[in-house]
Amino acid sequence: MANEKILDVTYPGITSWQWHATLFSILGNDENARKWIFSNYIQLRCYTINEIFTGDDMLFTDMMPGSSSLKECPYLISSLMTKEQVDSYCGNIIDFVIKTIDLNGYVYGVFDEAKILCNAEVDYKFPHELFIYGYNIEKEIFYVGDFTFGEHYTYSTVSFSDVERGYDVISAPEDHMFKDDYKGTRGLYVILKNNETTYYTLDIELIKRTLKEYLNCEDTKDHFRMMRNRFTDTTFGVDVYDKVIEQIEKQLGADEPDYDVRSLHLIYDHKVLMLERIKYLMANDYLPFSQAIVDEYTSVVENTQTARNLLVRISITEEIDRADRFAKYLSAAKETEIKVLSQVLEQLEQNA
Amino acid sequence: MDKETIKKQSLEVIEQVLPELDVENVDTSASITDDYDVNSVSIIKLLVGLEDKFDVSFEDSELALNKYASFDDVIDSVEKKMN
Repeated sequence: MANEKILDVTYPGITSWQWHATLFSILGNDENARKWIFSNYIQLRCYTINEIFTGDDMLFTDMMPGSSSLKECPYLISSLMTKEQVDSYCGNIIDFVIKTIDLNGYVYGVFDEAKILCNAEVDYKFPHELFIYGYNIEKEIFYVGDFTFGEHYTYSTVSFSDVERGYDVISAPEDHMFKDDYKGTRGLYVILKNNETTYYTLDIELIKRTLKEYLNCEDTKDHFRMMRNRFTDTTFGVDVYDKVIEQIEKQLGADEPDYDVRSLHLIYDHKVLMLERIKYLMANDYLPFSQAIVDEYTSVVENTQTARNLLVRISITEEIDRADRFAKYLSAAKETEIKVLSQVLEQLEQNA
Repeated sequence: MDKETIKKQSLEVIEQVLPELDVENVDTSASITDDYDVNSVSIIKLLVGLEDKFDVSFEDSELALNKYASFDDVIDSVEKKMN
């Protein structure tokens, strides 16, 4: 056992939601994985859930694949380890994480980050996924990636004892990573990189099909009914813009305004990734180069970025009267995106 | 207001918004992201602080971190709005 081992990570280009930040931290720089990434993450979806911390309604917006990407990406091998397995194999979480990292495995699981990891004197739990990618025995610290320790996604360190306490206090119903699919259990993901062989080529057919579904707001989950068929209230595609506008108006119009920026940040990240995808398709001759398309889609990125930044500003200044601008920025982004992606789709069809 | 005064007062705002920085030794031409860990939230806090200090206004589109490579860029934008 070394005194210190830190597995490779690259600061992720996509930081919406911990599962995306984790996958992009591990694979973001891998050329083969980029082909899988660009073939996916096209469709957007949203639906209302109960916020796990407050119980309030929350519009949950995500790209597809969502959190299941860590299990489904062909360039990762993810093993589910129940708490019972961890206890049986190693006796405690600290040894388990160290041994896993020694075997080049990243660890991802739900920990209480409220009064344990942040040392805050609070009487509630904050169950949140923690991504662990390294350790230092002498300093008794783990290297972690998370949103909780700064204003944005950051790589930092957490002591062994805090990780242990944060792990021990989470009960099975609080382990939201496990409870949906593995009811009554809790545990961790052990994630290995699996990128030495090419498993996936850029899938132009999937890109075209999903772009169509995105533009036509069709139910992409319908293809995956073998695995999941529980949700009926999901909005897909460019209609997500309208749901998000509606949600922001609702949350800012409440007696106690809510400045939840997550849906806007997700939409912005989706546009950043789409622009990268368009440039990649042009650079690799799947699309003819067009500066006009790049420039127009850049304006989509900028409008969604402006909408997100406006909400951050309002959360600081409480200038609720600025809220009427969201619809302008997001509607402009939607209109231009439909136009540009329709052109992209047409050109991909012509090239087929 | 002359450029030096704007810079001096801007550094006071930077110190308030980013208390972890040693403002006395800040290189205002260095990268605000790579060298000073300014992020998409802290840049907005800084710009809002500068609005209050100098009675200027930043457009929504000017709140983006990628508009500013250095603190000099931020201070220049304040100066342009004042003159």
